[in-house]
Amino acid sequence: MNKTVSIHIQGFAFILEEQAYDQLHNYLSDLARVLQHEDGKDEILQDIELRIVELLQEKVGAQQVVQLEQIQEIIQLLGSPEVFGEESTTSNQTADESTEPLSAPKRFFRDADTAILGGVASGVSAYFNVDVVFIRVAFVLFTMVFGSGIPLYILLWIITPSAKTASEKLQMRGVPVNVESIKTEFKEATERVERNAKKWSNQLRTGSGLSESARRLVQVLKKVIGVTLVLWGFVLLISLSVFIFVDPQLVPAQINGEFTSLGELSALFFDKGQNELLYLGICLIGYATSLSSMLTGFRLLFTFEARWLRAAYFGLGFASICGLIFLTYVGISTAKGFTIEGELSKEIGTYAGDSLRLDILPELHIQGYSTHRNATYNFGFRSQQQNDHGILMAQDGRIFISGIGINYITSTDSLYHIKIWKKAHGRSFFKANRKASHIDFPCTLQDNTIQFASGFSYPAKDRMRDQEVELQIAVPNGKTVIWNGKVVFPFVFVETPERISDRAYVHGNGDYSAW
Amino acid sequence: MNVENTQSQMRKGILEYCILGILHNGEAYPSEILEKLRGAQLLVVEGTVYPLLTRLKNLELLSYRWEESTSGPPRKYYAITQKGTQFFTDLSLTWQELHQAVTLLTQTTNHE
Repeated sequence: MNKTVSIHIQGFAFILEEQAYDQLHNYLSDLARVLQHEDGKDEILQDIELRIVELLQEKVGAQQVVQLEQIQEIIQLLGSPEVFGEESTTSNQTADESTEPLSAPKRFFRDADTAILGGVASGVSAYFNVDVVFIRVAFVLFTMVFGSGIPLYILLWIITPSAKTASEKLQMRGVPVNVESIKTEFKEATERVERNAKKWSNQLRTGSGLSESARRLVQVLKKVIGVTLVLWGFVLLISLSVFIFVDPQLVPAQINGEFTSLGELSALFFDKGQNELLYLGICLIGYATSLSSMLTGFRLLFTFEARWLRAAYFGLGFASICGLIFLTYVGISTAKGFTIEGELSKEIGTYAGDSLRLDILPELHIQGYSTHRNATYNFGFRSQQQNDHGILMAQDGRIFISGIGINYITSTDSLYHIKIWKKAHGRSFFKANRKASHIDFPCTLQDNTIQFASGFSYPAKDRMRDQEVELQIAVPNGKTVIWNGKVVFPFVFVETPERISDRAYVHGNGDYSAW
Repeated sequence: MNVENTQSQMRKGILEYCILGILHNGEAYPSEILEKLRGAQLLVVEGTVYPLLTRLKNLELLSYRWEESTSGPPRKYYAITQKGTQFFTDLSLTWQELHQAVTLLTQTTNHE
């Protein structure tokens, strides 16, 4: 079974096999090229086309579709394009020149035989009689220096025909380069570009007969997409491998005093086993994607078919689906770990005075990292700048979170009541409460002062499950809370005086802000 | 020196003369001309004839008219012009001279 193309020649309709069409089309365009310097070229072509119609009608008869062999027979009968060229040159030129039957001027073709991409460089090298390596290097240099190599290449690829027949290949190599031949070629190239441009614009306007140029454009696009796919697949492959096997420490979070890697970070978030599954899923999807995009790219570039291709695509697709299932499982399972919130509260004391003072524990605040390492509560805020340790810090099997919430409520009696709330999420109440109970938050009430740390810690094996600490202070009517010598409760906003802040947040660096 | 090449060169050289000769006997369309050439075993490939016809026409040695055909595409009937007849007569003379010369020379060679 073959595809067919329906055409008309001089007003007579025929249905051709696709290959037969290609061959006839090439033949006629070759003829047009060989005869281009001939007077009455159009007339000759018309005569030949009429003859082809006659021959086709003779050959096809009752049969519907013209086969490739029939076109080949016709071409054999009419003679190869070289014959036409020869005929026109021998009779127009002197005897000396006629000994060189293919003395048509040298022309610029793409050389598909020695091509890597589109054969532009090979064509140029054949034209100027220079080794192709120099031309390729020149293209690369153009690309690097001006960035113009790639568009130039693509432009040449589209506008130059590729040398298909023997005569074209000879013409491509043609006569040695001299000033005269370069001049002629340059003139012709200009004409050709003009003609091509006209043809293209006509075709675009009328939308008909796009076939040849459109097909070449599709070829170019295929190669461009192919290169892009291969590069993209390669970059993905490399970056994925670096990410998984080298695991560079680039995340601004500290574990044991250093910047952390994504791998270490995810181990703090995903449960044991699930973290590994997550990585397996990412590996499967990532490698399958990069390999299949490289494979597709190579197929676009070199157009090959093989039986194992289907199996390969199937395997890669299967791997991706497995990876997706793993990721979904880890996602759902981890989300489940957040479903139940557990809260534990503990009253640490009451105070009967008129004003309560808040204070950050001095040895935990503005302390060097080294002293912190041996500090009782393992707090590592090395300076006042929270950014120094990034979004979180983990050390010696514990995760440190900076920032404590403060919630002011009205006291039901004349005493201050100070309560600590510890919160965590888990799969069940039991697990959530247990995680909450693991939270370590240093806080004491001494005389008129609450001393507390600006952060808290919990075991890394609990994983990050939205652990929070809130200090709840019940303030009797008319009494105040003081921070750094200033009244912070009752705090009246300047912009919205009717609002009184009942919430505040103590940042890791010891800054206090009212909400 | 390639024998086939020489043969085809020789055939080609007299093709013009032969076409004029065919048309001297009455008008014909290309396929008829081709048929006759093929019958005389003078034809290598058809392709050579078409540029020749057009060129002869452009030199005003030939003229043509279109005629519809019941069985196929319209036919281009070529006829020889006044100028063409004159040209053909000149060529005929040359050909006879050549023929004589060649016969004479080759016969002489054969005898030796």
